[in-house]
Amino acid sequence: MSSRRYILWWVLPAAILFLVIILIPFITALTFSFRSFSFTSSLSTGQYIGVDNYRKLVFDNDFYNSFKVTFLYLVPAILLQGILGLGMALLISGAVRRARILIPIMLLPTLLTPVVIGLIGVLTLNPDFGVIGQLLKKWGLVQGSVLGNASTALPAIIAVDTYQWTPFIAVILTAGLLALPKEPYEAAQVDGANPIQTFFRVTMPLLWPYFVVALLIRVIDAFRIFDIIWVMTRGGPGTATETVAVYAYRHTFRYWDFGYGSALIMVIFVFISILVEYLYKALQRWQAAQ
Amino acid sequence: MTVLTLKNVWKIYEGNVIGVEDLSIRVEDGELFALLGPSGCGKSSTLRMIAGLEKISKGELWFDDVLVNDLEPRERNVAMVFENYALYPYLSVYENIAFPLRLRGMSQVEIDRKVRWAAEFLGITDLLPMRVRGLSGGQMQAVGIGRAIVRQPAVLLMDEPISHLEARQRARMREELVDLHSQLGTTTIYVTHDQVEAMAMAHRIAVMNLGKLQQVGTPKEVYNQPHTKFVGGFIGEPPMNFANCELSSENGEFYVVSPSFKVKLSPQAAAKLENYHGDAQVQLGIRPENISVSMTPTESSFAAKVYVTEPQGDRTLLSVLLDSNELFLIEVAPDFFAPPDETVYLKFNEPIHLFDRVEEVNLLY
Repeated sequence: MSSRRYILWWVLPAAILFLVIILIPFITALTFSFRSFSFTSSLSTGQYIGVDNYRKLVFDNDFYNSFKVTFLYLVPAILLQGILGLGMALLISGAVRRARILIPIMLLPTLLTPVVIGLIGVLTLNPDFGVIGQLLKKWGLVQGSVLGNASTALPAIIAVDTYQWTPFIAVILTAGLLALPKEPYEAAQVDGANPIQTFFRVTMPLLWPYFVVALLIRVIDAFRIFDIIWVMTRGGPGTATETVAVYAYRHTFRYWDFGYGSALIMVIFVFISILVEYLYKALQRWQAAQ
Repeated sequence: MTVLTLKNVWKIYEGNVIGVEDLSIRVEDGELFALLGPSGCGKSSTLRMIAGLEKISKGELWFDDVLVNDLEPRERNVAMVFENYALYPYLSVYENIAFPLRLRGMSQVEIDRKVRWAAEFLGITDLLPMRVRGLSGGQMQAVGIGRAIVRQPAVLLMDEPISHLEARQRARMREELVDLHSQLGTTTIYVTHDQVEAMAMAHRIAVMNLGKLQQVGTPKEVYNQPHTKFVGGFIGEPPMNFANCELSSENGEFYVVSPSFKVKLSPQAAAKLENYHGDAQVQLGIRPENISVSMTPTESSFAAKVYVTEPQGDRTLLSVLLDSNELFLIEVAPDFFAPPDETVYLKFNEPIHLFDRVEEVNLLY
């Protein structure tokens, strides 16, 4: 057997997996997005309607609103998780060096399924018997239910999401901190840096690539947030917590409009790709300029 | 302009491992002072204690009349050049050199003037806008040196700065560093394991071994008058030859006797031994260039067997086996050749060194 063919055999399982799990569903969704699935047409193939779904989408204000909600959730959530994660990593990295077991313990919230995390959120925020919900009510910070109030539902989701994902960022940054070279620190010490200068002029720039990776993973992930929201608020009250993923889900599996749902998903996909590419380039440029 | 004094300095690591033992050194103002020794001899620990990167376990460290034991590195005004360069990989060459100035909150105009001065001094002006990642080892170290000299430190510390460069570049950097020092006049401590470097560059050398100071002296002194067997063997290439022998005196004359030879000591050497009351068991040390070889016996010569002849171009190295089975290395003229097992006749010339076999100290100095 020639070595080329030999290589093919090794690549084949992964290629098949990729085909079945990613490529086929993706192409299916793509073709669906050009079709209409009303009850008058065949439900399995739908009816070809060209770019009508996309045309409809352009004028869909609810869709734009879901984008706005996504960003209202994403930006504060990721800033919060980045800052808390960094703080946690700085506090704990010294201890982790001596006790590696701390890493899996830290990661516990991240390892739980989002549905469970969402349920934890619902229960703790319940105004009648939830630990936090009761306190918020007692102190008069929230009228009635946190999740039933349009102005507090999204912050609550951000808080729960932060609870789940901060440790993830902390673990990546801890690994980064432990892997940093010690020479620049000694050079900085001799060069005259005090601890604060050392943090901003040595630790942060060295840690920056780890930060970028962690934040990029979170941005991609946050764009697809669905489970926590569905469990906690179902996108409500009203559309206060309806992110793009929730909106697409509603159209696809509530209104059974596979065509429009697929078109939404395609747009979200393209948007995330562009966003990630742009963010990555921007962060690289920012780093290069430093 | 700083005089640096170490008084009975110790470095004791966890588990009672002694890194540096009772070290006392005074480095004069503007001196280029080398700490020389094999790895693990405590030279780097000493340097790091001077920098403030490691705590002094016992003893005192003075910069002029200031006791600096408990000062942070940033309060000592020392600059250091690291073995592995220790540059800030995310900064440009310019910003690496400007780093210590930025920490001091200097104005941009002032920083620019100083950075350009240092870069010009080192001939790396065209590297300034580049990132440090792509630089060669020599260029990186030039940046490291630039960062060290840009703020005119009280003491300049160099930790094996050129040991990672390839041989030819190392030789050139050696000259550049000497030139740099003579222009700056900063008190400089230079750590190296390479005796050629120390000999070529330093005003004075402190030779260390196993945490202990062996000798401090000018390159000539440590070469010609090694105080211990270690110094004799460590300095000089090819190294000094050693042979076990016995001291004996006949009719007021001193002789060194081994199974292979019997050598009469000079009157000066004999005078030094008048007061020696130790064991008669000693070691003779003689440098490869202080042995003459002939194919025929001469007065006070002795026989040895040729082992290998190694032509080096400018000279030939001849290794011979003595009757006592000790191997000696001798420098001979470049055109010398003798086949293996041929008998040759050796004669020792002054200076001859005698070391106590237990204490390993030189009995003649």
